Amino acid sequence: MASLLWIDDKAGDGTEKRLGFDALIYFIEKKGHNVDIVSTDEQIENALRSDKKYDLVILDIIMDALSSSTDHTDQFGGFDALEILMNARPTTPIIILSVMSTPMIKDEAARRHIDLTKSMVKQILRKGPIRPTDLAEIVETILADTKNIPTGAQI
Amino acid sequence: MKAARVASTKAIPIWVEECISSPREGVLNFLKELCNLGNAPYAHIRIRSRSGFFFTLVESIGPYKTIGWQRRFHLIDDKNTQSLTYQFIDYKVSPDCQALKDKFRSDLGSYQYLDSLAYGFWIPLKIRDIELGYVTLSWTKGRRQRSRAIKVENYIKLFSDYLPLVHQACRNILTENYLTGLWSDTALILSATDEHDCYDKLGEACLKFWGEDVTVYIGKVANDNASFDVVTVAGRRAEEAKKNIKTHNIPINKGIFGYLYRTEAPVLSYSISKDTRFRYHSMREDGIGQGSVIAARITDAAYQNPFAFITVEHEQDNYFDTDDIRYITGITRIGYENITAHRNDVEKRSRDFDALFTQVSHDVVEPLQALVADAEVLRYETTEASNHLYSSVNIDKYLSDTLLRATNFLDEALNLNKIMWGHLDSGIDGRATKIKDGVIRLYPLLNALVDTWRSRAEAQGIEIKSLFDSLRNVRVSCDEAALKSALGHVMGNAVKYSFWGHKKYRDSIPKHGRYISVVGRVKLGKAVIEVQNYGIGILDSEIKFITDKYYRGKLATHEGRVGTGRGLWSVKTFLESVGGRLNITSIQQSSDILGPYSTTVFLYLPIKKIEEN
Repeated sequence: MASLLWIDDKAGDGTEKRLGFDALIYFIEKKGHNVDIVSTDEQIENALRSDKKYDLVILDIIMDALSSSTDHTDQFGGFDALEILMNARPTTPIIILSVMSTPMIKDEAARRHIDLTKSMVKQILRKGPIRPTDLAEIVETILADTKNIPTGAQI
Repeated sequence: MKAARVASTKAIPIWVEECISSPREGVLNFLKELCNLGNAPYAHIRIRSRSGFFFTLVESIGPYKTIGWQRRFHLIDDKNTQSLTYQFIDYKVSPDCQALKDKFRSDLGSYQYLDSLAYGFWIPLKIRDIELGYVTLSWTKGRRQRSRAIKVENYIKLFSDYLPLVHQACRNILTENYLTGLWSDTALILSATDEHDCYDKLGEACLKFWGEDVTVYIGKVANDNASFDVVTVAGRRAEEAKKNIKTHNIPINKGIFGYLYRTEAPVLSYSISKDTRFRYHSMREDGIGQGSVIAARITDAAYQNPFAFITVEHEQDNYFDTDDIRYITGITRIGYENITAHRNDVEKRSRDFDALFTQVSHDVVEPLQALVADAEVLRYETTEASNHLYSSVNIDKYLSDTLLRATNFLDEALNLNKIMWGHLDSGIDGRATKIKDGVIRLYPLLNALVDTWRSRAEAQGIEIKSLFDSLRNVRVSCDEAALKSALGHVMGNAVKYSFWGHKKYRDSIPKHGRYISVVGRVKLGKAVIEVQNYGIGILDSEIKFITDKYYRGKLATHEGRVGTGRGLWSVKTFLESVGGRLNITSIQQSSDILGPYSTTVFLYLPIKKIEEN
């Protein structure tokens, strides 16, 4: 069983039954993984700086800036989180799940002098048509690649 | 003695001075003088090219300038090709003339001219055994008359000291031709409307410069850098090539394109069949009729990462000269810049659309994502529940869960529906399609607005200061939702473009806090709402455009603020639709053009009614 962190200001309202937007992680949890959802500034800051080990992070981009951010841009809180992740958890793989397109994400990364190729961002997914089963499959693949657990071990 | 008498009675010919002051006239008058002396109707002059291998056609009396080969590799009709000598040429048996007649068989005027030529006379232009070039006099009838030739020979010998001036004048003419050609071809290439058109224009420019005899191929490197696609074929063999050659997925490691891929410098091959550097395969693998070629990368100034190659081939050996490398280098650089500009333009448009789409779709995409996710889980749980119905295991729980999810799903769908209709109602351009006029009290609306934005602003260490008591009894007539939306845009901008204040504001009174002021007053029968912030501003030169649809301020984009450029436009559109107006000022607060700026947005709304309490 792996431990995941989902950072998204829209997540966490769907109760433990994973209704609505939270249904995205329904099948990840079905496979036996534990997903911590953080959506407020305080929750995100605490989770990023905690000692808890996460095997994978799912990260939204368009969020309010984190309180610890030094950047004036107030719409890309996900990048604030990414910067912290790259320093504090440099080996934790990351999936970016955002409304933003890949070129826009790369542009913003470049503006902040973040080299995505040197980050642990394994995949950039665009919100909208993502099916929970697809997301679960991608998560399994990345976890398997990082040798944390064998593919499908928890099914 | 005869020559000496001529010298003593003749002054310096006028063409000598003209060669300095007006090179083309000087050269033409020099040729006319020779025609007069030899009683010949036609003459042309060639000079040695910079490479020393070629004689380049410069000017002619008669049509030869537009008919003859522009470059001649030594003297191809002369058995002794290593030096120039005075001698007669018999055009009837000249292979060069025969080749030209074949070339112009369908061009009656040119063909008749070539067919009319009887014989010619080569006049070497030499000074102290240095070959500068030669002049050819041509006659259309009569026998060879040695006396005429001797007159010309003597004249040349008499004024041989001035031949370097003729040579220099010819050089100037050729340089001018190159520059004129490059200039007009630059304009041609830059007129291309997109990347593909640019390739076509490059081909067109080559034909203009080297003539319709050549065939131009342009191969564009595929994304995988392993192959190329032929995107343009122009010139002599274009039609044939288009039918017969393979145009896609041509391996990049073969032939001249492959050679170019590995070599930064342009390629000049005098004879493809004798060239050991590459087996010229690109378009004619059979090797039939191979001639000469000039080719180059379409690449940046550093000659890295070429994104296309251009080859120009001629079926004659020795058609291209080293001077031609300058031209192909010039046009490929211009082509590269133009193609890059078009690519950047396409990229920019795509990114602008992306940014717009992201902004507009943000409200819609996440509920849509929730629907997609919920729908799949709902289907899964329904299937599970129906399976459990038969095994009678915890039916109540499954039914309850499924019902809850189904209800949630419907709620999500309805919410999304509302959002979608909200978007549709405000129109794709932000213009309200339905204005439901109502009488609105401004004071409570502004209070609610400030309350809504206060926490957001405070998170950035910004305080909102408001003073709109004078609007306490003011009412305006318009659609309330549209007014809220307009004020929301203005407040949102004020927060978004403000510099952050001191973070301690969250826990205590700010020491270095910023503030946004919202002031309301009545002026000349209108309610005026002023929203002022301190931060990223608007350049003076942009104030008049800032309310244009999709226009985004340079300072805002420079700072990386996301926006669509529709906000202020929609505010202005709304205000004008209700008889109001929008004014904006942005005053630079320091010597740095990047700011900060004090920016004030003035919203003027006609007052519907003023009531005294």
